[in-house]
Amino acid sequence: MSAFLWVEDFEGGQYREFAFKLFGEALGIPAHDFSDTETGLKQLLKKNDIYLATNFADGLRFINDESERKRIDYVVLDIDLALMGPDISDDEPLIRPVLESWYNYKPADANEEESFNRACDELKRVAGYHLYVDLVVNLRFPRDRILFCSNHGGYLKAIQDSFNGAKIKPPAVLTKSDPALSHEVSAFYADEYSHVRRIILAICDELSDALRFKQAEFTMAKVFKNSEDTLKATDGAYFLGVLPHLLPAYLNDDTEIRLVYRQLVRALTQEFVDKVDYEGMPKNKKPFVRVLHTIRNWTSHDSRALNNLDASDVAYIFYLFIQTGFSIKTTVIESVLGDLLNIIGRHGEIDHELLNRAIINSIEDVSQRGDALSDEAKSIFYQERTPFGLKVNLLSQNSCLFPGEQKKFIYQIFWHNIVTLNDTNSLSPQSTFFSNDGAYAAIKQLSHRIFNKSFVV
Amino acid sequence: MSNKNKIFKIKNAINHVTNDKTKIYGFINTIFAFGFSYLLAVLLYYVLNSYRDYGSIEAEEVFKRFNDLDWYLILAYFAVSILISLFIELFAYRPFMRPIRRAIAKKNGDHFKYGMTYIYDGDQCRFSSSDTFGWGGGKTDLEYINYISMILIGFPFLILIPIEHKIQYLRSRQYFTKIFFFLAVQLRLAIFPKNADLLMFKACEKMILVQESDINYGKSRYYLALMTEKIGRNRFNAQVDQDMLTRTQELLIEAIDLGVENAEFQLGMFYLQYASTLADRSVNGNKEGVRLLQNVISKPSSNLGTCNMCRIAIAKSLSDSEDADELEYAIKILDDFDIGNKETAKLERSGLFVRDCLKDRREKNDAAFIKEAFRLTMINPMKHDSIPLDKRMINADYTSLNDIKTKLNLKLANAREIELIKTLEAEKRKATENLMAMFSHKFRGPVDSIIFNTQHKHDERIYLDAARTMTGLLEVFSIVSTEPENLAEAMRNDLGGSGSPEKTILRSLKLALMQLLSQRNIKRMSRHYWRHARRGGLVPENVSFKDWATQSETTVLEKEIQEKLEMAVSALSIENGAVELLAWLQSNLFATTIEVADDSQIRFAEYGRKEALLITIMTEVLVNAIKHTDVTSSQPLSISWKEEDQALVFECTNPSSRESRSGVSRGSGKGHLFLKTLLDKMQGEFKPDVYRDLSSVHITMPYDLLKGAAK
Repeated sequence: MSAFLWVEDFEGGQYREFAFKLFGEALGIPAHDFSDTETGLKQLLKKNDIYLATNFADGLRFINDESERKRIDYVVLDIDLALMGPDISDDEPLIRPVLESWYNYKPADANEEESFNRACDELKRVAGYHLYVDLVVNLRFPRDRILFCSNHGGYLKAIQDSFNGAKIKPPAVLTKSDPALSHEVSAFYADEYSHVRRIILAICDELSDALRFKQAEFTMAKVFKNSEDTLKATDGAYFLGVLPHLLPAYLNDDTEIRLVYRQLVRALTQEFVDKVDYEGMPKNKKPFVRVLHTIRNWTSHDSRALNNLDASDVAYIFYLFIQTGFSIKTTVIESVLGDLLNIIGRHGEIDHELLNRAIINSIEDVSQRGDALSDEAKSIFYQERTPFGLKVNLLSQNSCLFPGEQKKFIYQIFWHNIVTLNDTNSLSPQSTFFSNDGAYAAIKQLSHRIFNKSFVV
Repeated sequence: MSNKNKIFKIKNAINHVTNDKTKIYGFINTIFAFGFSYLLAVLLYYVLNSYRDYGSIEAEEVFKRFNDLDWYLILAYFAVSILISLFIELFAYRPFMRPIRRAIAKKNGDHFKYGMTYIYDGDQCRFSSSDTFGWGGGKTDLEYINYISMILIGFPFLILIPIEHKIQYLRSRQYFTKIFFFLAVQLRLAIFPKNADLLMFKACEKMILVQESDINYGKSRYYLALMTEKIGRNRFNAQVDQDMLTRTQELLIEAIDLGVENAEFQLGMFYLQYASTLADRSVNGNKEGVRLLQNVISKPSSNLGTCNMCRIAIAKSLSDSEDADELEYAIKILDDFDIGNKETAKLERSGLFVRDCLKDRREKNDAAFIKEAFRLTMINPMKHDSIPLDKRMINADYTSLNDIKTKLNLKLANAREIELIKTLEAEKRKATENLMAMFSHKFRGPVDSIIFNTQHKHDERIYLDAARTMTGLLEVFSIVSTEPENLAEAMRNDLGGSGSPEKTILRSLKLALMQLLSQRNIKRMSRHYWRHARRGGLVPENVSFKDWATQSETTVLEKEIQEKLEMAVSALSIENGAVELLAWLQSNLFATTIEVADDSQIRFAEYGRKEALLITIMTEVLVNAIKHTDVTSSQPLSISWKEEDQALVFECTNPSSRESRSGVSRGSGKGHLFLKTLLDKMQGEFKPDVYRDLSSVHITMPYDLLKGAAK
C-alpha cells in the first residue's frame, strides 16, 4: 500500500464524508468508522500512511520538508484551501512570499492588511495549484502521482486559468462526488511498486548517510574470500548511490515492473559468485548468503528464473542484501527497515509443529524429483548429507523445476539453513538463531515475517 | 565432314542468329538497358521532388540545392551507363577476349572464326552461348552484366547523394532502416502513394523505436508528423481526420522537445490551420499558433524568410478575429512587413510568399501554375536574370497586403465599438451573477434551520419561519435580477404590517447565529467555542487556541459545544423582544447591544419583500461581524438602527484583531461586493471600515425607500 499526502481544508466541516468518499474504498473502512473530527481523522489516516494537511501552509510545510516528502508516494490536492491554521503567527511567514510574488500583496502599503487579505482571497481560490507547481516544478515530484479534486465544478475555472496562464497542460480535476475518484485513489493505494521503491530509496539514503558518519560499515568483504581490496567501504557507498537508478519512478505495466524487479535482484546478488567463503564468514550471515548465492546462480543462468517476483519478494531479497553487506550501528535506520519488513509480511508467530511438518514436506517434495537428473547429478542428489539448497540447485540446473517455482525455494532455503531435523525427524532448531542474541535479531525478525508464506504450495 | 558441308552449316548458323526473332531480343535488351538507366535517373529526380511536397522549409531548401544539380546528374548517370554498356559490348567481348576464346575453342575441338566459336553438334552447327552480340544477339550473360552494372552504379548513387546533402534522417546509424526509409520515399513517387506512406510510417516509427534520444530521433518525429498531417488532411475525400491531426500535433510537440529546428514553426502553422478543426484546441488554438510563431520570429537564428512567413501567417490568422486588440496587432505586423534592403531577402520572401499562395493550387493539381510559380520561387540571382519577374511578385504581394490592411482597419473600427458594448454588458452580467450567488448563499441560513429542525425536534414554527424567510428572499431576488429599477418602487409599496426594524434585527441575528453555529461552520467559529469552553471551565484557562484546535480531546469537546449551542440557539424565542437572545449571547458567546431608534415607526409586512431585503443585508453584515469578532476582547458587538435627516442608518461594530480577521474565518471575500451592489441598486450606501480594533460597517438607506415618503 502506498502512502499519501492529502491536503484538504474541510471548509464545511465534512470530515467523515470527504474521508470516506476518498479513502473509504481504498482502506475498506465503512463511513461511520471514520472520525468526524479533525484530530481523530488525522490519527486514523496516519495509521494507514495517509498524512493529512488541513491548510495551505501545512501542505507547503510538508512538501518542502524532504524527510516528510520521502514518506509519501501520492498526493491528493484540494483546489480551494484555507491558507492558515489556528496559529497564524506560524503560518503567515510561509504564505507571505507567495502573496508578494503572485498576488500583488504590498507589505509597504498604507493599508497593508487590506492588501494582505485581498491577496489571500485570491490565493485561496487556487492554493492547490501552487502546491502542485511547487511539487512538480521545484521538487520534481512525478506529476502522474498527484490527484486534484474539488468540492464542485465552480473551482474548475479558476484552476484552469492558472494553468493556462502558465502554459502548463492542466491535470484532470475530479469532483469529490465522482465515483472515479475513489477508484483512482484505491488504485494508487494498491500500488506496491511505488511503496517498495520508496522504502528502498529511503534505506539507501539513510544508509549512505550512516556510512558517511561511520555509524554503519560496509562489511560485504567478510563473506568472500580475499575481497578486501575489491569490496572497499567506498564500493558500498557507490552501490547505494547506484541502486536508486535501477528503480524508475514511472513504470507502465506489470511486465515492466517485473523486469525492473528482476534487474534489481540481479544487481543485488551479482557479487555472490563462487568466491563466497562459507567457512570464514560470521555465522549469522550464512543463511542470508546461501539464499543470495542461489538467487545469483538462478538469475544468471536461467532467463526465466524468478521473473515472477512481487514487491514483498523484492523487499525480502533487499533485506537479505542489507543484512549481509552492512553492519549497522545506528537505530535511525531501524524504522525504515521496519517499513521494509512490513512489506515482506506481517509479524506472525511461528508454530514449531507446523514448521516441523513443513520442513519434512519440503524435503520429501524435493527428493521425489531426482529421477530426471543426469547420472552424475543423481549421485550427489541422493547422498544423505547433500543439503537442501544444493538439491534444489541441482534440480534447477537440470530444468526439473516448474516455471515460477524457484520463488518459493528462496524462502525454503532460508529455513533449511536455520533449522535442521534430527534422527527422529523432529525439529532441532539451531538455538542460536532463535535466541535473543542481538547478532541474530535480524534472522529472528525475518523468520517471523516470512513464516506464513514460505511453505505455501 | 566435307568443307562444303561445313560452310553450309556455318551459313545456317549465321542465318539462325540474325533472324528476326533474335534481332528483336537484342533490341529489347538494349532498350531495357537504356530504359533502366533512365528510370533510375527519373526516380532520383522525383525523389527530390517529393520532399518538396511536404511543404516544409527544410525540404524546400533541399530541393533548391538539387534544382541546379539534378539534370546534370541525370545526364551524367545516363552517359556513364551507356559508356559502360558500350565498353562491355565493344571491348570486353571482342578484341581483348579473342585470343583466350580462341584457345578455349581449340581445346574443345570447336571451330573459331570471325570472332565466334562454332560448335558442331551432329549435323547441326550453332554458336557458343557466350558469344552472341549485345546489339543484335540473344539474351545471355551480357544482359546480366548490364543489370549488375546498373545496380552497382545506380544504388550507391541514389543512397549517397542525400547523405551529402544533409538529410538528417538518412544519417541514421541504422543502416537498414535508412535504406528501408529511402526505398519507401521512392515508392511514394505517385505510383502507390497510399502504400508508400504506410511504409514511410513504418520506417519512421521504426526509427523512433531504435534511435536514442538525439536530433535524428526528433527528426523522425518531425517527418512523421508532416506525413501524418498530409494523410490526415487527404483521407476520406478531403474530410479532415481528427485522430491523425491530433497525432501530428503530438509528434510536433515531441519534436520541439527534442530540439528540432523547424518543428515550432510547423506547429504554429498547424494550429493556425486547424484551430477550428481540432476539438480540444479550438478556443486557444489560434492564440497558441500565434504564440509559437512569435517564438520563431524572436529567435535570432531564424532566417528572414521564415520570419516573414510567420509574420504573414500571424497577420492572416489574426485578421479573422473579431477582437479589436488582435486586429490592431495584425495591422502592426503588416506594417512591419517591409521589403528590406538585401536582394537575397527580397527573393526569399517573394519565393516563400508564392509558395504560401500556392497551397490550394497545388491541391487542385494545377500543374502549369505550380511549375511557373516554382520557377519563380527557385530563382537564383547568380544564374538567372529574372529580377523583373521577381519584382512583379513583390508588387503582387504588396497589393494583397494593402487590401488586407484596408479591410482590417474597417474591421477594427467595428470591433472597438462592439467591444465597448460587450464590456458594459459583461459588467452588468457580473454584478447580477454576484447578486445571484449571494442570494443562494443567503438561502443557507433558513436551510440550515430546516435541516437542524428536521434532525432534532420538528418545531412547526421553525419550518414556517424558514419558509417565509425564503419566500421573501425569492421575491427580492426576482425583482433584483429581472427589473432592478423597480426595486425601490416595490419597496415603497410594502408599508403596512407588523414587521419592525427591531424584530428584523433580531430575526437576522438569530439567522446569522443558526448559520454560524451549524456543523458546516465549526472551523470558522472555533475561537468562540474555545472561549466558551474556557469561560465555562470545560478546559483550563491557559489552554492556547492552537492546542484547542489540534488536540483530539478538545476537538471532540468542540463538537459537543457546537451541537449544544446550535440546539440552544434554535430554541430561543425572539417574539418577546431582545432580552432572551441577548442574555443567552452574553453568557454563551459574547456581549451584544442592540439600539433601535424607531422614531418614525417604520412598519412593513412580516416576511414581506422589505423585510426579506433587510434580512438579507443584515445577516450578511452580522455573520461577518460575529465571525471576525476578537473573542479575547471585552468590547461588545453593537448593532444600531438610527434615523437621520434623509436616511436610515444601520450600523454594526465589533471588536477585532488582525488575527481574528484572517485565517479560517475568512470567507470567499465576495460578501462586501454583494452588499455594495445591492445598496447601489437601492440608491443607498455601504461603508465598511473593518481594519481597526473596532471594525464597523455603516449602511445608509434612503429614507423614502423604507418609510414611503420623506420625513
